[in-house]
Amino acid sequence: MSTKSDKKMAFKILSNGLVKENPTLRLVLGTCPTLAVTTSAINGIGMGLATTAVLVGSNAVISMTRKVIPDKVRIPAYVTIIAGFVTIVQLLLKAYLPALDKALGIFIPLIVVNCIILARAEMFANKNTVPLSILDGIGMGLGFTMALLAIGSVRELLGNGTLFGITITANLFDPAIIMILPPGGFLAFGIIIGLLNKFTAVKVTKTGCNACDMKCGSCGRHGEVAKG
Amino acid sequence: MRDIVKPALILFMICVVVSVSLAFTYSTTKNQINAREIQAAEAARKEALSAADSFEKIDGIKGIASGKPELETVKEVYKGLKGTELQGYVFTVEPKGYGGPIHITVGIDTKGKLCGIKIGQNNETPGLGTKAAEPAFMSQLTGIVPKEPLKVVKGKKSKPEEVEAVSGATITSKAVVGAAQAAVDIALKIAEKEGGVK
Amino acid sequence: MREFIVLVIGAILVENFVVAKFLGICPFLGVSKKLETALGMSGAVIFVMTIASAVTWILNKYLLVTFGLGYLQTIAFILVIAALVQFVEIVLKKFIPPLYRALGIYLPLITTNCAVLGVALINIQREYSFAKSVLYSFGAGLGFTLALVLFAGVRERIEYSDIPESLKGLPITLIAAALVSVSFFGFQGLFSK
Repeated sequence: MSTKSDKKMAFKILSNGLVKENPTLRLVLGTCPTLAVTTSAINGIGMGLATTAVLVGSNAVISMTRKVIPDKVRIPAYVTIIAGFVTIVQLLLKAYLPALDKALGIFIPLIVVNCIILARAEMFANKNTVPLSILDGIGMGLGFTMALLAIGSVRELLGNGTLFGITITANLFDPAIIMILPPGGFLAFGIIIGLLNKFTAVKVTKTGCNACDMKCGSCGRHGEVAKG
Repeated sequence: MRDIVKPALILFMICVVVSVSLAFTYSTTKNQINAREIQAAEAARKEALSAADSFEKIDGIKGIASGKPELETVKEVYKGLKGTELQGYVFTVEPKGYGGPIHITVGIDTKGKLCGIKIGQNNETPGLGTKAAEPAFMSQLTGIVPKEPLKVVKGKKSKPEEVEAVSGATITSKAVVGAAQAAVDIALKIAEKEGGVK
Repeated sequence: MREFIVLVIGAILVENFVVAKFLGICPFLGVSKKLETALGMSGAVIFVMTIASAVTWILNKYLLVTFGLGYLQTIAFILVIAALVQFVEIVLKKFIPPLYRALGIYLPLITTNCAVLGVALINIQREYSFAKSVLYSFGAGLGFTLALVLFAGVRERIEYSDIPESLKGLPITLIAAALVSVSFFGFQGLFSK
């Protein structure tokens, strides 16, 4: 393989998570944090980057140990590794970014059960090399961050009249508080996916984390995952 | 037998490695986290009672608060001093909000004026309950000397003791105002006991 | 007594896990297509949530807090939940086969249901007593059931409705979920005197 095609490959993996297989808007994984923390743009970014950090770390370690971990105990082993990274991120946030830690609250430890992370372990990291897995983690993580930023911006703008805490709408309209309340989360997410369906070629009609025809493999029925 | 022992052993090894690295991260961040918390609490007290430059924890609130559930939310009381002169009292209050306890620091000067209220650790709804910490809500509470019990109202307030609730977050608003009221009550009791607050 | 009733009803209606707290959205969207699967999943969730909160509460109080290992909370809880789900599956299979047949296929999906880990963490965060933790988790499970069952009804109607092409499937499901979520808002002031 020449360096040129290596570069091409790397770029492809990176952009895959950003656009083609965007974990939030295309695969529709990890819906809980997507809806819960997107009451403001900054929270969306914070959650996205925290998840990216965990994803890059867990992808790297899982890829590194892919030849050592026996198939049978794969899922518990992955969960342990992921939970480890989540706790590290949590402690670092508490120490250096306490405001963000406060804003995201319980959804930081809940990164453990974000299906994106286990899904990437199953679908990518356990069958690819370490550098490629790290790239995949970055791409998927940033794709998640971008989507959360988009939803967070829409909700903050419509629901609070601000963006990153700065008043944007002046007094053009009264903010519709419902957008930052729980129903607004469902509504914004639904409409954004609807718009993407209308204006792009890909049709998203169901969640990837379907709990029954899952693609993320977190259920332990791993066999079907890779094929999905 | 081998296919049970080997996976179990590897899983165990993973747990050990993860635990060790967590213990390491914890011990390196522990001091930083503690220092942050102490610093934040001190800063909150300073903000709540800006006239004082040092704070001294005082005991004996247990006796005052016992048997009165609305006062039991007050966890700590500090004397605010400038040099050796008493400037007022600072209260750490933990009322129950919408998402569990809210840490609130309330400062009251020797005249019984609410000087500052600072909301710390909480799990209120971002963008709603958390708005109670913003000036729009806070400015209603600070600077007043309550003559009668503070009250949360929906809509326009008609007197200083009335506080307009953050829309969509009545429970949080009530918790914050209740905390301020508890602090005012205890300040009065301390004044009765020591003749500090007039 | 009143306190406990308020806690349970509050967990079901006021702070419904799915539509107000955004916990357990994946199964909410995933298995709410048919009433039957919605009930099966809900049964399994109530079961695991209640047991998991009891076990994690004891673990937290007598192991993690006692030995100052609070930082291992996340990892300990998720491993306990994963092990518990496996254990429940084995026990049901062996001793109560009818229940296993009803809930069996949903059990493995529950490990990563964030509502389960979520309720365990909330119990600790809110400093609930043991009895309160278990009751709150039970209530949260009931709330999950209520949301799922109601939503299954809504979705069965959507199936037969005329919907714009680009909103078909997930988008309209999310918009319908928004409306269900709005309807739960009516309970918001239930206990604020």
